[in-house]
Amino acid sequence: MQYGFVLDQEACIGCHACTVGCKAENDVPLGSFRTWVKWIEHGSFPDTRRSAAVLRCNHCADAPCVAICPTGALRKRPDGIVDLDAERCIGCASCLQACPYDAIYIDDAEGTAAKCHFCAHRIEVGLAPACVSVCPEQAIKVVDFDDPATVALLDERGAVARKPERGTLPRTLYLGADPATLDPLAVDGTRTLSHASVPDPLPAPGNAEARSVYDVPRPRRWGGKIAAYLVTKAAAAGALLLAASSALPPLSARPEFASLDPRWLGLLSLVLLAATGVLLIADLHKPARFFYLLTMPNTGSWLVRGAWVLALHGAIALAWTLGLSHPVLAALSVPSALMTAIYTAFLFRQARGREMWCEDRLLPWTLGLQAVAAMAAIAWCFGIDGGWVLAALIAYLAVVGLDALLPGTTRAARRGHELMIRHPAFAAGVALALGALFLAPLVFVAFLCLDWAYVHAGQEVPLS
Amino acid sequence: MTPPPDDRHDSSRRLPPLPFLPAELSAAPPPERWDDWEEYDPAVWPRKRKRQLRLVPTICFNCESACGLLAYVDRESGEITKFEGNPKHPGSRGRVCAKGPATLNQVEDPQRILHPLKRVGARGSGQWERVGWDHVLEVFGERIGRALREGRRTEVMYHVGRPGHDGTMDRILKAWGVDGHNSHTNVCSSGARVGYTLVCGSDRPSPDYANARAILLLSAHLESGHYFNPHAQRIIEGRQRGAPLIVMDPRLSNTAAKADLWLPTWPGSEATVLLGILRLMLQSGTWDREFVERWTNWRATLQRLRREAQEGAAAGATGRASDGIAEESAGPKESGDSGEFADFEQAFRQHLEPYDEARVERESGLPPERLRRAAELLGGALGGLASHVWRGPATGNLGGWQIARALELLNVFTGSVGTEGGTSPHGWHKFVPAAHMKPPAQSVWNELLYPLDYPLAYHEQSPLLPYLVTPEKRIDVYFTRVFNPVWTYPDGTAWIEMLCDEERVGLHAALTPTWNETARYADYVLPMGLASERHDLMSQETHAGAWIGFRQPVARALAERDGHPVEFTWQTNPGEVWEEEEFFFELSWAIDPDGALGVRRHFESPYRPGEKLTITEHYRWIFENSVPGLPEAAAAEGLQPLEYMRRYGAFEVTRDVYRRHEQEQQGGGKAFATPSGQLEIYSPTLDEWGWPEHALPGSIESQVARAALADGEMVLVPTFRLAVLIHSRSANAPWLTEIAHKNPLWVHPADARRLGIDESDLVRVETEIGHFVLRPFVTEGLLPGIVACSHHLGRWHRSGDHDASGWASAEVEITRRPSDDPDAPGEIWRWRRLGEPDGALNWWRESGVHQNITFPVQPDPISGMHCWHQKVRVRRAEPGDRFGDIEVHRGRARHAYERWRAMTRRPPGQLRRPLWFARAVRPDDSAFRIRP
Repeated sequence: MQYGFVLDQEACIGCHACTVGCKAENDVPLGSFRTWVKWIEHGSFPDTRRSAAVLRCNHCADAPCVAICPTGALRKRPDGIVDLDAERCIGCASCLQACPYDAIYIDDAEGTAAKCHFCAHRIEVGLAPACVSVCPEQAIKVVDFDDPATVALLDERGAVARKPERGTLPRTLYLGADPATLDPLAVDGTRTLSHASVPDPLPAPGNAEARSVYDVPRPRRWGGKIAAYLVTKAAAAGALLLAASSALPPLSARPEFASLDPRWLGLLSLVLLAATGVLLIADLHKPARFFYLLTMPNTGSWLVRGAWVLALHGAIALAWTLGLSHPVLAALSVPSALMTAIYTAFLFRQARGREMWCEDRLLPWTLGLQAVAAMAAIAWCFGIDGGWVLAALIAYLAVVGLDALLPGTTRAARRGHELMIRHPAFAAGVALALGALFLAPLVFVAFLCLDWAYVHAGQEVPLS
Repeated sequence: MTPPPDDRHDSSRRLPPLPFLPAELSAAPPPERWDDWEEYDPAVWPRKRKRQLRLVPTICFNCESACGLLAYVDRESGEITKFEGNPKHPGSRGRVCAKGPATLNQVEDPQRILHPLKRVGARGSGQWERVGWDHVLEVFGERIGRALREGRRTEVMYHVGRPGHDGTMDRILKAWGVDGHNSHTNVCSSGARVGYTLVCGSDRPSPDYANARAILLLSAHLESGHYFNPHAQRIIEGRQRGAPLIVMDPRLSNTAAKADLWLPTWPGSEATVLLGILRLMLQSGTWDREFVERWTNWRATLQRLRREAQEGAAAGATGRASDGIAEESAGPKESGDSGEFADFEQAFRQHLEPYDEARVERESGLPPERLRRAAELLGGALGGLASHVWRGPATGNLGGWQIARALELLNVFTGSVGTEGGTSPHGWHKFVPAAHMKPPAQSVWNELLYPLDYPLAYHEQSPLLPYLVTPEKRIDVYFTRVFNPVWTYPDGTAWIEMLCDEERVGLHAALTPTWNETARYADYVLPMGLASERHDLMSQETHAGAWIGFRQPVARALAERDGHPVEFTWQTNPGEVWEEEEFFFELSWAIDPDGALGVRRHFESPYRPGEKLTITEHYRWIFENSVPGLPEAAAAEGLQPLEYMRRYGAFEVTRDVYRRHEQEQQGGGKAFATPSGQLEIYSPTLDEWGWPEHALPGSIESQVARAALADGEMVLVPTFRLAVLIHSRSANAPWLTEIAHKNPLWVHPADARRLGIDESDLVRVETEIGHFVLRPFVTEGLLPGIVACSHHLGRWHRSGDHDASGWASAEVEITRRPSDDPDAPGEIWRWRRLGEPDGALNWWRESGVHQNITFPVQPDPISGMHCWHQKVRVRRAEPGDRFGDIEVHRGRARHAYERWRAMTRRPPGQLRRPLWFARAVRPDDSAFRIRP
């Protein structure tokens, strides 16, 4: 048995009974939705067309939310249902970034994620999900994807999935849907809705063929703290690299490096790393559960792996601080620092919903060079100057510039990219980075601006 | 590319359907386990904590569809945890719309009124104190008793918004001997009712959508309509079986958006369009001759057509149609019926000749190819046209009743009346059982309800009540029941003035489950139960079949099931929330404690002579004696009939509903409930009651017809509803309000350009009597030249109204100033918004704008229906305007009333109203006579 939904949009009248039936069954808070109806309009009078689609979790065969979830709170049941155990959830919101379908939300009262779980609690007593039972049109059907006859019939009737190209193998399919309802980039969602508010709308794509008529609010969950974490992390990596350079040839051969006290740099790295940790934990909606990362880890998640990377970094920095200067330590420091800088690229690659991030092949380079630029800026503060500092800053600028010039590989990635470049923080970041060529520490402010534009723009592309 | 709408017929619809559920799942718990149901608590899932539940069926109390609900009651706490659909209900079949599950919000509403309240201070000042039910019964019993003893039998009035029951108030008011039933029908559906009645003698259609060969809707039954959920189920079913769906609506409703053919027609032109379709069908010969010949009054119609032609010829009238008929009738005739019928066909075709494509396009804006396509689709559906107009255009326009009449004629000419897949008179699909209580009809006539000016008004002329009630013709005791005219009706300020005037309204009780704008002006607010807190018996014509549904107070039903007798429903409901029927039983004894007035005897137990009737006995008697097949069905399960209904909540009375007219005729009765017993193409009634110009089918120029607009005027369509809301009663359901909380003004982009506005602007909509200020929603989804604004939204309260729902209601300040218009003296009222809804939990900070209060009364002189559509001017707001501003000129409102009233014609004879017309709480025939 592999449960899935079929949404028959030929039969659906967009009446929201499923939305409210689900709310009643699962006590879904106001402002959040496990299933919702999207209404759009296109064409011109009198050939105007208005269409609805019921949107929700796809119970993907290859569910990105399960892969990224650091604590195994999300899991794929043997019957195909993607279920969530809020008791294990730390509220990191990475699943919200991994899901290409906007299907997960953070329940603010609980601080944990929540989503459609196919009413697994009903399934286990032989009842259809609440949305299925309530639907006036029986337009929501439960199917078994293990049943070849069903699969063949779905095929014959031309059932389609949302964003099949994301490779998630959705198990929620649509019959008779207006394609524009399933394509978030086809719709201008900034316009007035016909009977609801649009708090904080996502910016409109310039070439939208349809307008939004009804939709639900979507808070963006990663913000300033994540941008700041990227900065402190890069700086921590830079400090560690600089500490290593005092003991590692060829730089250690140069007097200005040899004269650096790696204990102070180790301490600096440690402090920055602690700040990184504080930012990360503060960004959790359930911060008291941060240690679940270590006690119930999903080893495939880059959140967990990142925690390990940071822990190793911490141990090495501590060793420097304690004065355990040794070439082996120095040799370990370089890959550790680089991993600290770069692992986020792998995390962002797991965020399969955010195409701008996960399709960004330059991101490891950007993050790596960010760490090197941070090292240069710290070195500058210690009175070390010279061509290499400038070179590091220029290399970073180059990769930022290259990233700005290269369009994304998918429509959504390109859209995110476009939004990033248009973001005022991006221009400010570039200006500050240029300024850093003269006053190196400015580069940290540049990081903050650029990372903010990056984190923000990635989430400004509608997923649903 | 979007295919043209008329070709949007999707062949995939005819592929084998997918099974709805795998075999191991069911949509609802099996009835045999309802009393002992176990399921896992979703709050702690995936931990498996079981909860024990008892499932009690009841009936939804939001719209009038009467869908079956199942209340899930926690065995431990006795709390209702949720509402789902009742699978044993034949109308709703276990499925419900969003308003069904949202009943839980209403039950749990923290701002609910839980105890009877009595006003403190001046009426309308908004201050209350809690009182007990005994006090309420004493006050109202004494006051009504006094009115009855003094023969003031028109001074007690019960005014209902949502009825939610069948026949209950008929019995109670007749038992009191008063003519006091008032309703909301003339702001709702009277237009359609008159049109349908004139043709088939039944005031509502019951389309058999599921089996239709074509579906034609003039109302938005896939999102609202009278029986939204049951109808929407069957419309889609019919469509999936291949029936094309045709929707006529100036606005692209969600229903029109689902249509195979959308007919965007100018408001008020619908009758012209429908007659244009009929004309094309007659022209192409795609109509059911045999049916028309057998079942209609075509002979009388022919005579009338000939008379008109002769009169026309005699008066020297020119014009193609009349000339043709005159010649024809003068010429040689074929012998026998068939020849006569051919004459009828020819004459009627000539009668329809003026409704040609050019005129249809001129009046409606509809391109001829869409008109022809509609005629083709209907012509292909002979015997199986399921069609419906309920509110929509029939409530919007002067002469709206002609629209329903024209639509019913399409049913007639396609031979679809009473057929499988056709449209039947509603009475064939509805079953109202008799009660033990059978009081005689009253012999008084209340002119506050049915004034002489409106002899054909299908229901009470309630929109005019504030103009009719005077200190001389007053209401002594006024019950408003789930009724909010201050907000819902046109000309709400007239209602506020009337309700504040103790000379005109002596004592006012608002019977309501929730606070509303009208309750503020009551002397008593009496909290009445919601879906799970009251008894009612309902039956609606939802499909080709007839059923009854039983609403019951869930906690009481469970207590009684467990052997704990309950005296009054308020004892088991939240707080002291009661139910009307039991309240009125008690009140009837309080009115007539010693039986001297003859009221009490109607409220005595059929099982315990002389003792007070209990509500349980009342329903027990009905189920034991009045529902064919129910006692047998109950016995088959070893149950008493009442137990059966308590357990299952519904019973299917019959499915044998087709071709009742044939059965009636064979039994020697009238096939249809018209005076002739035939389907009446020509209406002798209209001739007899002074409207000869409309005795033959035709169209009437609407107040918002294209030709009636001055330069720069637009038409406001203010009536459309949203699938998740129900009038002014769903504001207390946050699950619904978060989906719908705004009502921007729909404007076509071409109009927006012309007016120089976009969605960030404020616009001012000026009606004849005032204006309101809101934001536009610029959309291709409506006809250029019209604007539209949805109903339900724009609720308001003042700072004192602490029970007003913060989910949807804005805080306002109301001020008045004298008019500066010498032609329209009287006050100018102004609403200014002080705050948006600010519930602690709602994420939305916007609400709608109240529009109805800026409309004058516009009663149709024939049907009495308030004609909702407004001629308006729309422009960018003025500098001082703020969102939500409303202004109303009382003087102009009175002028409008007088202008519309001048269109009326009094009865030409001695009767107040045709005896064959239905009337709510019908008095005996003697009361129909006009007494000097």
